Amino acid sequence: MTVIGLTIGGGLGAIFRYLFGMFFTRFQKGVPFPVSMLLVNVMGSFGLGLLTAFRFEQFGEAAPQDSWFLFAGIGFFGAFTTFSTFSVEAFQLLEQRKYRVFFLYTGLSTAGALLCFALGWQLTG
Amino acid sequence: MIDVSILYRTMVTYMKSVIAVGAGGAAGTWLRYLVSYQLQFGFPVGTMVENVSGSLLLGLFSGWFAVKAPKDWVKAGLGVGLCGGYTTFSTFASDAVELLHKQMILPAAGYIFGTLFLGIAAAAVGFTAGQKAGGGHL
Repeated sequence: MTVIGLTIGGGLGAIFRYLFGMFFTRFQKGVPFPVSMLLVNVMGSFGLGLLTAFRFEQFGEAAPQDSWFLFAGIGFFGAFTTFSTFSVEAFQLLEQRKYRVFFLYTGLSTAGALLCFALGWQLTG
Repeated sequence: MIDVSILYRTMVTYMKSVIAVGAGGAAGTWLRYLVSYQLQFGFPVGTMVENVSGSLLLGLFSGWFAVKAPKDWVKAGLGVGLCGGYTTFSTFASDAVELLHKQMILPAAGYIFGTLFLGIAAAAVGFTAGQKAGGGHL
């Protein structure tokens, strides 16, 4: 069950991120800001917050043995959101000396993800 | 806003890449699960290690791809799939909120800014090394 949950959840999460990224590129032409990964990370964090609240009364109970959490939490939302693309995009903004956009991107991604996780967690909790 | 027919056409056109992303994402998720399982402490070391090492790896790939330009599905499978699936932002947010919720303000700040700083620095190091490995000049 662990194998199947992680494989399907992780595979689907990555594919959804890929498709979302490709779609969004059409809408953000000329916008000098990596909006699509910001949205992916914020939405995915909200989703994980909801899931955490639905499945567990408290943190720490999110045991890796729970098959729903393995599939949707570690698998889907884990793979849907990404840190490596965020890091590389942030580095490229620095390299292009777009310091304001860099701080805006890293700040909004971090604050947005934390707030939306907490929001999702509180909505059902 | 999302047109289903566009979704369908995109799926067919990019089928090879989509499959590569799915396979890479599954492998990355597996790797992430194994690392987290090995590194269980009070502090979310596992997620930090994954996000920093994954940023280094994607930096390497991106630098290398910028010079060598392999096929699209190879780039998508390794970058979007493997590195994207191996690293995660949602668990990072979850870990940070958990620390804040437990009133562990300093560890939370250390975790958040440590991951951000090390992740972006790792991406920079990886990108430069990847370009060099690909034979490009800076």
